[in-house]
Amino acid sequence: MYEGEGKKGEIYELKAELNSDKRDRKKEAVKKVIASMTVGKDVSQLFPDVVNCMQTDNLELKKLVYLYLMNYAKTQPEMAILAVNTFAKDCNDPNPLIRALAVRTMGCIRVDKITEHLCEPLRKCLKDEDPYVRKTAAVCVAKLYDINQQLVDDQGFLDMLRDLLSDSNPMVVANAVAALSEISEQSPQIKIFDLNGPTVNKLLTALNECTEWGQVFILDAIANYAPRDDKEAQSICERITPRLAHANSAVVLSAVKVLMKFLELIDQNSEFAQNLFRKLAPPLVTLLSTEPEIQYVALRNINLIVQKRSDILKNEMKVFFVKYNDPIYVKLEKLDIMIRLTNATNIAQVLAELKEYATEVDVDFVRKAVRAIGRCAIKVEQAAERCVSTLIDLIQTKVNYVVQEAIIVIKDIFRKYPNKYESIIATLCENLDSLDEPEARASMIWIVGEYAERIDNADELLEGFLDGFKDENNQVQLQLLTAIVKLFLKKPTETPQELVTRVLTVVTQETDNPDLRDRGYIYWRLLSTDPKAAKEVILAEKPLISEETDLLEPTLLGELICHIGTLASVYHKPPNTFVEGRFMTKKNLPLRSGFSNNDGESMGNGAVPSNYQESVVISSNVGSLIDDFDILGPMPNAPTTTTDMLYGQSQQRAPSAIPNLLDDELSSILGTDINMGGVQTTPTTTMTNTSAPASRPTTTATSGGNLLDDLFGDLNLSSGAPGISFSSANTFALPKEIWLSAQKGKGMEISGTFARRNNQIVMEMDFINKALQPISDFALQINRNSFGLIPTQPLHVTSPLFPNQTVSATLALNTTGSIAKSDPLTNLQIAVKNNIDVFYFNAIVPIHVFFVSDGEMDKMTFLQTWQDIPESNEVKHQLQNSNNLSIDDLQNKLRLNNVHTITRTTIEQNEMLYQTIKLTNGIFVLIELKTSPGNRTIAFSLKTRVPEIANLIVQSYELILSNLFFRSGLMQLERKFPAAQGAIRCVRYNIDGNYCLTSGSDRTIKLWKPDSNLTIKTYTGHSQEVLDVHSSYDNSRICSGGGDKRVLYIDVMSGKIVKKYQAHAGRVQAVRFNEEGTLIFSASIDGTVKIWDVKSREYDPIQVLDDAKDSVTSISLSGHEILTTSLDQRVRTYDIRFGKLTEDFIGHNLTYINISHDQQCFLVGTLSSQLMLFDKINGKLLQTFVDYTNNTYMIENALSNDDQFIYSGSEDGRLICWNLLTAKQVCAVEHEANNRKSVNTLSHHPKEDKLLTAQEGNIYIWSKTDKVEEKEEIKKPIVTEKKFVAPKFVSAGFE
Amino acid sequence: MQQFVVFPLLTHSHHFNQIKGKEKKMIGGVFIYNHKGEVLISRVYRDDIGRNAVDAFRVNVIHARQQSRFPVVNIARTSFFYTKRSNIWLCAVAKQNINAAMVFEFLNKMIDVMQSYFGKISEENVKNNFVLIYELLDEILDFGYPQNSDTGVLKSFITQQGVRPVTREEQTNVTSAVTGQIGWRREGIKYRRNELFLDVIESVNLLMSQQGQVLSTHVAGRVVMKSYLSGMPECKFGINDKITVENRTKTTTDSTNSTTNPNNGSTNPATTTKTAIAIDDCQFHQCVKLSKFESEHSISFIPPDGEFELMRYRTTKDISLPFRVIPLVREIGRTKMEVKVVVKSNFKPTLIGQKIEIRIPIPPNTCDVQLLCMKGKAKHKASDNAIVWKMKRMGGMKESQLSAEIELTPNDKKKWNRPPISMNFEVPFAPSGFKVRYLKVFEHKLNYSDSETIKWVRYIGKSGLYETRS
Repeated sequence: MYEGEGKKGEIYELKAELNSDKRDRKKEAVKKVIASMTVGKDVSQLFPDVVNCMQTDNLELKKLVYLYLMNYAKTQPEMAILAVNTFAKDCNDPNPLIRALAVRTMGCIRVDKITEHLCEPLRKCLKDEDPYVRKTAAVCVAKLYDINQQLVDDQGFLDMLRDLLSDSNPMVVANAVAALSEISEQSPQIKIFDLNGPTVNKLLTALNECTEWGQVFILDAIANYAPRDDKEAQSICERITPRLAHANSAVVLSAVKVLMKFLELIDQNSEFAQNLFRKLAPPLVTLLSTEPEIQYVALRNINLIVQKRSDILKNEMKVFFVKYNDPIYVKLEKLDIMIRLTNATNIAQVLAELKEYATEVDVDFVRKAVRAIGRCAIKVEQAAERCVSTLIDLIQTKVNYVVQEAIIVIKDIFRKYPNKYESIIATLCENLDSLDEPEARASMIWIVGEYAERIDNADELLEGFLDGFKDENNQVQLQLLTAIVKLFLKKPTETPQELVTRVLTVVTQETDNPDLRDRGYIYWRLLSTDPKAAKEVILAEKPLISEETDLLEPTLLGELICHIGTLASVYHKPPNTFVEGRFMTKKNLPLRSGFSNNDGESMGNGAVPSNYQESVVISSNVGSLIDDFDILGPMPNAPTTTTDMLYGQSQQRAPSAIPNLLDDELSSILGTDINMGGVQTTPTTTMTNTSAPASRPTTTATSGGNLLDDLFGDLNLSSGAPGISFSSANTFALPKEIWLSAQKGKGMEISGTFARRNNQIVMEMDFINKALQPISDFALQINRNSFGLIPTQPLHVTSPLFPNQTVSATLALNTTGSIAKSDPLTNLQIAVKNNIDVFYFNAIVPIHVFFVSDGEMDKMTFLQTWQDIPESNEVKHQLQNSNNLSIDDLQNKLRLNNVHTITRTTIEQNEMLYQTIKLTNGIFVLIELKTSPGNRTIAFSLKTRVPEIANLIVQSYELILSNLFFRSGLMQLERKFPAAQGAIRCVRYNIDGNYCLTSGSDRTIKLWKPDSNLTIKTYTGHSQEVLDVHSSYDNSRICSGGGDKRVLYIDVMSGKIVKKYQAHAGRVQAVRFNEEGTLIFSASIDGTVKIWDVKSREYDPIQVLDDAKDSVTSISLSGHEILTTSLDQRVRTYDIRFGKLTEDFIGHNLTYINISHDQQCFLVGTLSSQLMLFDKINGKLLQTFVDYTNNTYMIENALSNDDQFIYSGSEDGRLICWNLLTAKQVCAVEHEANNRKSVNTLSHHPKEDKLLTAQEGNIYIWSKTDKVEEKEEIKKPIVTEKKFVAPKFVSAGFE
Repeated sequence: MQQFVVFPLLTHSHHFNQIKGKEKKMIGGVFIYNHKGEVLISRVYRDDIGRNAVDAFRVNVIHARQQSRFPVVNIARTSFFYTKRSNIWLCAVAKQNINAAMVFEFLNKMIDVMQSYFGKISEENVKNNFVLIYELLDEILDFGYPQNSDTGVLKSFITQQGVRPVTREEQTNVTSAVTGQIGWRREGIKYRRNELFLDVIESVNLLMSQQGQVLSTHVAGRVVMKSYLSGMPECKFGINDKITVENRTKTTTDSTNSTTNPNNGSTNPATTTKTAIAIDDCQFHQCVKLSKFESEHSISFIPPDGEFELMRYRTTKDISLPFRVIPLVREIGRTKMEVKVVVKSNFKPTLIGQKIEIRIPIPPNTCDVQLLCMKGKAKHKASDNAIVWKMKRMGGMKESQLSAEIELTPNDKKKWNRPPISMNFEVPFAPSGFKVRYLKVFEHKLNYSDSETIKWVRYIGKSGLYETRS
């Protein structure tokens, strides 16, 4: 009866039965219909007959009919209308069960026409007296929202739903919460479900009384709430803790999620937090005695929790012991957690267990167990010996996969404990022949190469491998190449030499794998040019390996913690990687800041999960790959010179040595926002405001009207600004330079600079971890020096510093330390200690930071002193006034750096300035400046009693005068680094600003993390320079266009070229994705814009916009509009919705277009050195921006995120910023003091006030500092005197 | 000459033009398949789940046979959660990042509900009751949100009897039961004799090494209550939990009120010396007021009518292991093996353990087994690759032995990985030392007093995973 018999007339028969008078037959017939429906047969023809059965008082029959209706209404919308009346009637039925059934079903009928008819019944049911109906109606609102959002909005159902949050019945509340949560996630931009204190309170009350599922809904909703302060977080935690004793694991996990999240906000050391941590463990353990599937979910979550806070479960090792009957997925997961919990105290127990597991049958499990033994060795040093002997025992079993796995881990052990266990190499070599997996083979070869000097027959062994070279896996080939070269370097005898020649020949001539070939070339060149260098490079000491495997990246971990219990926590992937749809709100752990500031110390530590301090080392496959990265960087296709290559290579090394991290990087790029708080805070040390001790100048001369007044003429030293004090609290600071390279610092790179901030000398440093393991325990000392600089407080750096993390620290210094003359005078010897070693390096302190603010003297004293100092101490110099500063500018500029102008006079058209400087140690320097009109040099003469510093002062003058930063006070160079890809053609931030893309003339595209100038990946595929690149809004794909006329569509993760479009006739100038990332727009010099559908298989453009009469220079997309600029002096606006083209004739050759963030205006760059801002809607010229150079190149422009400022590069090497409203230049900074090369490309950070620019081969990151005070301009908008080039407004078809 | 009057840049709003990504936070559909992969039940709740999802699961999981090794799989951006009962696959589908723990809890709950309606989950039962299953699915899952799934309540209105001529009053009773604060109990229950039964059922889990070292052990205990009480009784339940006992001795002195147990036969003999035990963790039926437990450590509740599981707990400390298995396996050459197993009972001699079964795994290439045992019956079960030794009962502090000679056919293919010896038993005490101290019943309206209620307490200790490595 269940499955239809498949007769021909079946449908006909059913039809007859459905129309039968007998109720029972009818019902049986409907049942048959449903049965057919279930197995996928189409019974939609029966629609009218089934709907006829709807009018019944038999509840069961009714339900069946409804079930049918839900399934087929969509296919028969016309017929479905027939049911509306019945629904309306049922919603008024006296029986609440029927009312609820009707409201439940009608929401599932997804037919637009019907939905309108449902509003009234739904409204009634939302206010029904019976809670059962209300709770059903609450869900129905969510259903309706899914069909028609507008309707729900218009009908005010959302408000009604919110009212239900205060319903007396907990079940109604729970369903309302569920519905609201879903709706608000669908439309994150509207604050639909705005949780506030009172609401949360209500929910917490309902929590105690509703069903288990309701509790889950409520807890999940509360997890999204951000408590006001730690008190509130604490009280919520208190009220949620009882849920941990609930029998439903989903309730428990959701409660754990809320607690884990809110605990971030509570002082970790407080008794409350400690207590709570203790309470978390037992329920988690209990979850392990549930059904295996739930155990699995629980274990995956425990895995996360243990990474975040290993101490929670540190005493529970035993519960993770694998049971014989556990399903394999539970076993693997338990093993993973066991390794994480292993420490010196429980290692014996764990090892015994692992040994047991290694004899199991499941291959995956056994492998993992073997690998785990190796990890234990690396993690717990005391146990290393035991682990190694266990591994040897396992190798003796000769079980093939066990042996292979063991060899892979032993290689890691060798790296961790060099010169300790090499005695077992012989045993390993016995198994050489049985290795058939690439990783194992590669590991073995690595071992042979690394210890070539100890293995007598190393050459034979390697030769054996070499014979089958071509059939080997790529990984093995690379390893073999390196091993043979190592062997040769260690034993430069005959056989190895022969081998090297052989392998290099094969590699360079017969292989088509670029990695292998390039590496071969490098070795070849190294060996032939400089064997010593070759030795240094190839036999270099390897960086330490980190012992913890696959620790999730902290930011990702934080996000996953916010998803405890959900699929994301099971997959260990952020939701957007497995879920469709884009507008996901990304969850982050709350940032603990803004309150409980009383203990800065514990704050800093608290922000970083404590377990990381003890977690240490290794990635399973790092060891095998590490050799690859000794030498292998992404090589340019055409090697230029050896030294260049080496340089590039050493740059690449640290970041790329960590394949795991690389993956994390890339996967986190897929998210939208990874710079989350809570995990990666980079606190800088607070600056103490003790100003530098300095006594007043010891001038005793009587002031008052005296002769000198006459001599110096009119005093206009206060002409600058009367109210402003003479000195400045902040002097300019040079950009940070690298003090300690990562190579010297064993992975720690320090760059820094000195500055004077708030009258205090500070050292500003960036610490970058380029090693593979976290670095901690930082301390800093300064050697005795000429000026007695010593730190005023200990160095405070957030530790541990994780691989690839950058932390800035500011250290205040004063000059009260003991003094010893250093050479040069301003040299500073610095020692930095960390958990790895102590490092020494030198840094030059720019002398101007020693200039103190109270260095002025009165004119009398000045004159006296000038005369007292012997002529022999006078130093004369010609300063270049390269920026053509006026005398006022000169004075101001110097004043800002604590150079005090005593007086100023004019003698025969020459402006004279008399200035003093006082250093921290009380030395005075007297200076005379003479400028003559029309002359770009300044005559400089200086007198001081300490002639050694004279040259330094000259240098600092040059520095101050050549640097323009001070003029703006607006753009500050944050960082500068070489991109190593030739001239940079374009720089682009990605959607969230955490990454950037650059393209260069060397045909590559690079993906960077601009915060730590870390190259994440290099993409190749263009055969000429890459002119534009754009990343899709979900960060998964890149499109690029270049001189080779190609448009590439590249996968970010793999670097694979997904599509290659080659239909343009000229070089491609600009490329853009649409927001969905489904289309690529490319603009070319051939005068067309081509639109490519990346989802289709066609390689032809889906549309070509060929209206331009000359080359198209740029594209900008805004919603449904495409704006292009062209050298035919027109801006074209294509409206996709209406298929309309609007042309605006500008009258200048146009190079670049940008749309303002409010979508109202567009900004175009022209080849006549002016930027023009137009109203997008009516084409009115709103503003022009001038005073920069753009005559030849395509100079890009940008708008700040609040549309207040406009930025542009300039062909004279400056970055210019205008105020949008006033068109006044607020700032113009030079990239380099002496480099006037054009700045073509720039990109504004999508969130922060930061700019990315490039000049030649360097990337610059600028940040906008304080808002500048713009005097007087704001009031009077300059409207009338502007020359307007009247734009023609031409609509489509006119031309 | 143009003038611009209003400059619209300072106030701007960001346009979110595309809000297409739809979030379906809940279960999108539930499917039930037979072992062949034929779909028996398919109920789709969300628009984003199409018919092809039904096939995707069949092809990628059921027909892939063990290829997918995890209970959650993601196929084409759709996640499938599944579990298997005998030959039946239950699968829930979702496209979004939904609460995975909840989905599995729901699947298990669904199985419970189905079992209580029509017994074992089998293909036949599912087919025969498919209308009922659809009706249940409609009720317990609305738009993918799990709703009240308490069997007792469901049975009150999903009956398969068609529409009952229900009175209005009954209808409201039903709806308030489904949604009410006390969703687990209906009003107006009446018994002539107020009676309640408490079963403390503990399962002892043990993993012991060959050398007799306890690797891990814990007791998973359940307190199952059968209540036949009138009205809306409030109950208070007291146990010898360390924290509670300490609290009590500190605060009050009148705590002499111990177990009110009429047939005093089953006080807990194995733990007479222990007064309090340390409970690692406990969980309660939804009727227990958790907040009260958290604050006062008292267990109070209004029980559902009939049988339910009042609490679950777990202890790991001071467990008295009722039995100990001492294995001795000797491999004599390639074709012969000797196994000797000694079982010792470790509880009061006056008590008797029952249903004792010891399962000794032997290699799959066994061809002959000679068995000798002092007590009970032992059999070689070739199909299970095990020797099963059964004893009906065994007194406390006794010892018994089995020895076996096993002949093997030579086989080099695989090493035998000696699965652990497992054991089943039942003993009449709680190995954790758990004790019911009192259970008081208060019913204010109906006026029957605590002392009139008849209460029964029973302790059963069972084996969970009781394994000794050999």
